[in-house]
Amino acid sequence: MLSVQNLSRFFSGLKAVDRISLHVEPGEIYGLLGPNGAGKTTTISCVSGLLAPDEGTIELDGLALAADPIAFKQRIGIVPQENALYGDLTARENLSFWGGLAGLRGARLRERIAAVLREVGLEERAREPVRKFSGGMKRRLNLAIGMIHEPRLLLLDEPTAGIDPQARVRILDTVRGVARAGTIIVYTTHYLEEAQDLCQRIGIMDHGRILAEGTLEELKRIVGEGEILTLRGRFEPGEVEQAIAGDAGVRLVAVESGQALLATGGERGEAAALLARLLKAGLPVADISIQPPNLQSLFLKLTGRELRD
Amino acid sequence: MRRVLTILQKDLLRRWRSPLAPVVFLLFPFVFSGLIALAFGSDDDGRMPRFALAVVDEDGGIVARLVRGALGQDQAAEYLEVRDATLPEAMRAIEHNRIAGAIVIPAGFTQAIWNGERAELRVIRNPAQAIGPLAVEETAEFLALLLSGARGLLAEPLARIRESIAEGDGAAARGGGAKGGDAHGEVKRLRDWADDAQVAEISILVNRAMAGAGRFLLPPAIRIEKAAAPGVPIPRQSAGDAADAAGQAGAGADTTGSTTGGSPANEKPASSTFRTVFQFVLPGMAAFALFILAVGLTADIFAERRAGTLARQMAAPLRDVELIFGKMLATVTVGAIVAALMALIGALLLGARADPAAFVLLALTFLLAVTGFVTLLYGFARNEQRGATLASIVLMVMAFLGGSFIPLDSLPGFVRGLAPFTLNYWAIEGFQTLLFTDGGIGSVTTALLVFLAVGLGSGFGGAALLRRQLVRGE
Repeated sequence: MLSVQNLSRFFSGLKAVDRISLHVEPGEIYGLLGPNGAGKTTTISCVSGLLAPDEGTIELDGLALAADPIAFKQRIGIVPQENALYGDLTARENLSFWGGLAGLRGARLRERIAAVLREVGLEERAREPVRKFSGGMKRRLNLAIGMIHEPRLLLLDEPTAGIDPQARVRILDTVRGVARAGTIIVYTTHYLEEAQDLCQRIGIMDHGRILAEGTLEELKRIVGEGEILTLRGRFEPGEVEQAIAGDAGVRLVAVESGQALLATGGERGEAAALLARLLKAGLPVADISIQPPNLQSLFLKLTGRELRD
Repeated sequence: MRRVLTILQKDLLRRWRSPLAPVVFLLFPFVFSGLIALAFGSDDDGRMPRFALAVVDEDGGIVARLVRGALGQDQAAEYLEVRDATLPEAMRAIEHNRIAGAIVIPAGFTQAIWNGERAELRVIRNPAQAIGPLAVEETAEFLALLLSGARGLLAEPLARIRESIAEGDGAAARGGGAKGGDAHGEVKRLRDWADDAQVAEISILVNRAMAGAGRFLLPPAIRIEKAAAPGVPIPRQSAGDAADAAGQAGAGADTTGSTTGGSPANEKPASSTFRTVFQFVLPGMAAFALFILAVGLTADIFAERRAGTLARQMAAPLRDVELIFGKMLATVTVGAIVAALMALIGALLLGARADPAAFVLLALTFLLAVTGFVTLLYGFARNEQRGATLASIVLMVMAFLGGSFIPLDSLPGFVRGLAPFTLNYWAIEGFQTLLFTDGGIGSVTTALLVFLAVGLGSGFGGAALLRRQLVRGE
């Protein structure tokens, strides 16, 4: 089991990660969901031993990272956000190098190279220089390197960023397969769909903190049955606040750049009634969208920002 | 250690796949040395100007005439236009800027040489000229060096000659014959008084002295004026040239024992000056190229950081120090391969040979020192840009001070004093010694120790600084 307790990391006095705690069981895919700059990569870097935490402890199956970093790193695999590959080397040579660093030798190394190439569908291209690979192929090789030594914990930092849907599906399938084999997986992403489809549990992260954590159903319950109204128009300062002043079940989440986000209570049809009242009150609404409860609405509710921010 | 070797293997494979930088720095010393040799070593249009020089012989003795004769030899005549003059004539010529200077052989010069006393040559420089007077001064210095060497070399035969003359004078005094006079007269008296056995004994002494010293004395006497400044190791000639020189030296010793036995003009083929300049410049350029190569290879760790592969390696189960030493070992190995290829090409082009064990050891320790030193610079600089800037500045300064660009003897004295503080200096000294003097490991011990000390000291220090920088993500 991966156990992270009160992890904090500062950069020039700023808290990039602020007292994060998480526990992930073998075979579980834990998603860290948050916008860029939320602290996901810093968290991954701390757990992988790349950055020393300023506070907190990290343990894997009872082995503390601080107590024996080499033994700890032996048990983890990391798939960084950038494709950390050598373009001049072939896929096989890349795997051979990273496998060698992880301590694999001889027949065992060759066996693992063949296995991971098969898993990510690159057997046919194994002897080609990586610089000739497409973005999706590089991503798959990047993933294969993380799995080469069959780590107990696999850390994936936005492994599908910027690739085509087909390659994304392949990567997600591979990750599911690795998890089924009992590997602990921590998966960071800012794609809601990925987190919803892939992860058994999700931590929603922003400004270095985990704002909410649980399964998808648990998180939806946090949102409740209410909906999120996004209103767009030329609003005067204080105008929206004044318009909803009498509605107890409505909460103003944020107003900025000609956009207002409102969260309704759990009553069905409440959003439509609210809209009618606002229009009647003379609020200059030019456009409106209503979202059902999902991670996006949860994120909006928790942070006042859309995830793409 | 296994993981260090894994990193080494990966980096060697990468260099093999992208060999541009090592190949460029492998060829650079040959191309650059060739250009310099073409510019300064040409025997045709690039001929040096001749300098007019007056010789004022106030001595009139045999040694003075030898000096005058030496300046008229073919090689000297190629660069010097020598005129006999009295002192007033020489001064007038200087006043009218017709000559670069004058060498005055004062009265009693031959006698002083003969008696083993301090002798003096005087040089008068033309203040209106810049380079010519330097050539006159160099010529006088060379003559003084040559005469001092000859006198030391022939000390035993000269003493024996003086004894024979003294014995002859004693016999003459008893029989009422002539005695006294100058050295020229003494040679005549030697002929008069010495019997055949004494002449044979003296001849054997001269012959032995010349045979023993000839192979050291004669080649520098020939080559100093052709390319190298005094005090700098002299490039070895090709097999054919060496055989010619040896034959000439042997002939001189067998017949007259004269130090002018090897005529430089006769033994110089059309390309010999090019070859000599090329050989002379090559070790300095090779050291410079290996230095630049090491800077580039050391900076690869920052390229890996940009590519994300460094972070991934730091997340792998290896110590940061293993990672840095793996990169350093790759730099040393690639550099050593390039150095070995340089030596091979040099041997094929020039016929130069060196003790392989000594050469490999010197090259490896030099690369260790360079790699350690560059790592230290990058460690101090704390980021890639500052590291590259600092390394470039230090590299150029060391190359200049160490003699990679300009022969040390052409630099001011205080600069020469700084040269031993550069790695280039020891590399040039070491490689020239191995290539041109048949030296072995023993002949480059100092350079090896310097490289080892710098390599280990700066290597460990640099690795510690670089590690801190990488761990902190600076």
